[in-house]
Amino acid sequence: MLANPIVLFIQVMNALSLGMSLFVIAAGLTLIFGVLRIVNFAHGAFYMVGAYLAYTVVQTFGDTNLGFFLGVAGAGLGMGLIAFLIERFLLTRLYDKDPMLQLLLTFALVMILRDAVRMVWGSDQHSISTPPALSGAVNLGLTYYPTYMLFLLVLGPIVAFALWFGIERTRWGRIARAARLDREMLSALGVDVNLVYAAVFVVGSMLAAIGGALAAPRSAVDPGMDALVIIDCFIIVVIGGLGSLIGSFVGALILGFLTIFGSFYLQEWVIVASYAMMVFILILRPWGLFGQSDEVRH
Amino acid sequence: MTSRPQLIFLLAVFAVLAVVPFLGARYPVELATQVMIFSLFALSLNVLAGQTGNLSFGHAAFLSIGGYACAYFLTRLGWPLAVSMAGAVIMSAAAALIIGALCVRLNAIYFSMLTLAFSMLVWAVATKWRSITGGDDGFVGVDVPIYLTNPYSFFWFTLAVCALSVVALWILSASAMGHALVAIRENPTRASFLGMNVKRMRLAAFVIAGAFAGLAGCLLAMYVRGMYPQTAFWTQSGQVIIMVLLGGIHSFIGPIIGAAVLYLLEVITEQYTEYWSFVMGLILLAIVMAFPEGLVGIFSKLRAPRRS
Amino acid sequence: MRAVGIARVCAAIAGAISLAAPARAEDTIKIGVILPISGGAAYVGQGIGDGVRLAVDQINAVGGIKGRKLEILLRDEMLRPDASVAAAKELITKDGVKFIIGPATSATSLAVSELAKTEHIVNISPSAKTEAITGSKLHEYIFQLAPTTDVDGVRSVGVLNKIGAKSVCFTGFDYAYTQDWFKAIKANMGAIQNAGEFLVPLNTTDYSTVIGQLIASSCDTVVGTMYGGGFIAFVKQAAPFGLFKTKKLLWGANTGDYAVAKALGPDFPEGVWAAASDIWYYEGSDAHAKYQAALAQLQGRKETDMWPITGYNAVNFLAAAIEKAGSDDPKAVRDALEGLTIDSPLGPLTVDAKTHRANSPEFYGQVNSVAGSPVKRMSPYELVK
Repeated sequence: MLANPIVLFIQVMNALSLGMSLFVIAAGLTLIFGVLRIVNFAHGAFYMVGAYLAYTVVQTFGDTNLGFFLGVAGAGLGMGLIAFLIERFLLTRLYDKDPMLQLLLTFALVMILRDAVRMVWGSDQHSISTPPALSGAVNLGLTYYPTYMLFLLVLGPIVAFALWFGIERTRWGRIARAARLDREMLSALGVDVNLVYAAVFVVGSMLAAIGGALAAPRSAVDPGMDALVIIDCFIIVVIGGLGSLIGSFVGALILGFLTIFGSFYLQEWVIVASYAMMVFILILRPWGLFGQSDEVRH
Repeated sequence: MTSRPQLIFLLAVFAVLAVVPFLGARYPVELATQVMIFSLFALSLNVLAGQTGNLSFGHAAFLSIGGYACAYFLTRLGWPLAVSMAGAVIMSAAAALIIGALCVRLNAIYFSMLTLAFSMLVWAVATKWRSITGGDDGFVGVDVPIYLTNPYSFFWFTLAVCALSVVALWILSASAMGHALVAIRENPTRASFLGMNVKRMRLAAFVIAGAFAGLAGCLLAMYVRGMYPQTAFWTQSGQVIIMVLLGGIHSFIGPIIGAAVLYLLEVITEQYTEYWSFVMGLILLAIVMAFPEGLVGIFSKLRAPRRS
Repeated sequence: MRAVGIARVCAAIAGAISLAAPARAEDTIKIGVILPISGGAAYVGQGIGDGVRLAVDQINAVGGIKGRKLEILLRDEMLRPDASVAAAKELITKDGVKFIIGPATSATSLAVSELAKTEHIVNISPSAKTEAITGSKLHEYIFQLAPTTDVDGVRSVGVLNKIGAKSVCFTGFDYAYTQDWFKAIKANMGAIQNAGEFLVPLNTTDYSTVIGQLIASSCDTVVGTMYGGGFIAFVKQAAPFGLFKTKKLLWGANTGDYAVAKALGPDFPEGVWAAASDIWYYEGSDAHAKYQAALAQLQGRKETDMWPITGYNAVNFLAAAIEKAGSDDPKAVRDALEGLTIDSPLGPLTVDAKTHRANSPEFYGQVNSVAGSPVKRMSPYELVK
């Protein structure tokens, strides 16, 4: 069936689109790990909260283009605020302490947020429609392709570029990169490192929430949506290299292609294949494709 | 790791447990059995975490391998209890040997992530390998020997298995090997200068941890009369990590306390509110935030080498 | 320092155990109810739980059973069989529960049923459809109210013939319900051709590949089983590819339910053939109208979902059996349940004495837009018994 160029083209586009939508979420996870050295198990819960926030905004403003984009923005801002509070009042007190405490904190956040969404939004299934401007399909010459998936496909590289630019080309980015290497030195130089940490945590969490809002038109908004996305994100971030932005980009593409073409050849056995691949890559390159081993970093 | 007060505590715990069946109610017996199984599981993780400093994010893999093996041997092959249990322990130890050989080369987060990946692979296989595991419906109905079908006799059996395991792990912890493992945790470089084969020692710890997790899995399978893929899912590994960290990884009894406290809290909260997860999260948050000193003392040793 | 810490923990454990010890002794009949309360299937647990609450309220309002009121003890199955078993053990050994309703899914149902077998506790499975529950794993104390996949298979082939399906392709989550139902359809579909099976892992989030395969398949009708959030995601991903324009669809897993239709709103594909164990807009009987009025009051909305009726019937079966047995002895209640008939909102319902199955009726119909309703409904529909 893949011999048919149109089918092949569609599947390649599907893989790119899936990879890019996952990249947006995974980028937040790798950013937070890269600077704060925290494995944020609550990242999936942040993604879920984002989807629910977007749902509420869309309910308020209606299933319109404006409603949808306000929803995505609202998800980012709302989760950003929550993340800011978490960082200021909880995480910041644990930076000097053992990393194990930070891990426990993120586990606690998972447990709290899972029920919090049920308290606020109930147990029902919810859904957001694709905004009118992005619904339907566009003619790509070879074939028609869903507009919304094309939108996700294009958005991924834009987010990647924006993050790359922010990290590599701005003063804040330089500080953040320095903070990951030597925190004490930086604060000795008079930089408010805590503010940098807060900013990175907020931006990383916003990416999770925006990812959730963007996923909503292609999925259901329900209280169980966090458990699986977090594993996808871990796979991406780990095979790409923890803390590496380009690594997550490549990792997301690998997972996208593996999921789409794996499903094609293996059907329901694809779950075994994706974890086998993660194991395989980590055995070959323990610190991921673009990561550095600890020995190299120090 | 080991000390006299801890030994006294353990003796006290077992003395208390020995009284439970005589309270006249069955529920404490059931609850104590469950707590013992999860305490054994947490204790097994601590062979790795406490003694080598590596936190496995995928320890539930061995719990489920032991559980499925036990269920299969007892029910499908009709093996006697002792043979089935030994078989289950060997299976999980063998799996730990293979997985461990690839994991112990890595440190810290990279070790954690590879163990997580392996456990999710085990989960995926358990979900798909229908002829052995029963697939997503699970392995329903385990043939437990007739003399263990009574909850009281199963309690005594679990108590005996756990007591023997605790003794074995205590001896291990107090042994030269235990001290060597702690030395590796504290400073792997120095340990290797002292002529220790760091990787081989850590692999040994990994296999021992896997074997005892498999034993706990075997007890679990017999207790719930079934085994299910969810037991290998990352959330189960997360739960045992919380248990171990809550109790503290630098003492022998820490994981036992952590497992008991977390399990009982969960059971009780669930009886009073449908938002049990929320309440548990808040309690965990409060412990992390309000009593960091209480935990820091325990964790500080782990942090020290990282700063050097 | 450490000794203090240890003492504190000991005190905490002692407190926990004493808290957990049996305390209540009122003379109520306790019904253990184990349902998904957290996670993606929470809406199912909410629905079945509402039905249980409604039936218990009604029975208690007229004085209970022979003067004894019913008491619900609800626990979360967490969609984990081992957690369900632990919850059931607690209910049985701590609270002295002799009757358990639930859990909702096939894996958790099988696990709890296994416990009911050894503990001699009456276990009514209200909503799970897996054959195994009262098939290969049948025992004296388990009763299954929902139509099993074998029955669903025959009923579904009826629909396939009615809509003139010539060639069918299958898709769905890779789990027991899917496999059992597809097997039953294939065994009964006669001249209708099987154009292939395209399964996805349970809880998949991306359906692109399988959507492509379905579109490329030569089948004229797609039979599927994704449910709840999975169905919502599948539909939203398949619509832009035009799957619903080129193929007819027959969907299992209670897709005709209000909860899913409401979540999808206008995105629900027009013309899908589906089933539901209850629809609030059925007007065929007074009993149903009365039941719906009471349920609407409990749920606070006229548009109720389909799950409550399963819990409602389960409680009424139990109550009738206790009444008939004249005691709450599980063995006597079990004997009373065999062959028992109750007046359900959808007419008389009987538990077969041999198979322990009630094979409840379900509505089959085509989901379409209805004037004046933002939520699509089955129209036309029929009650299939």
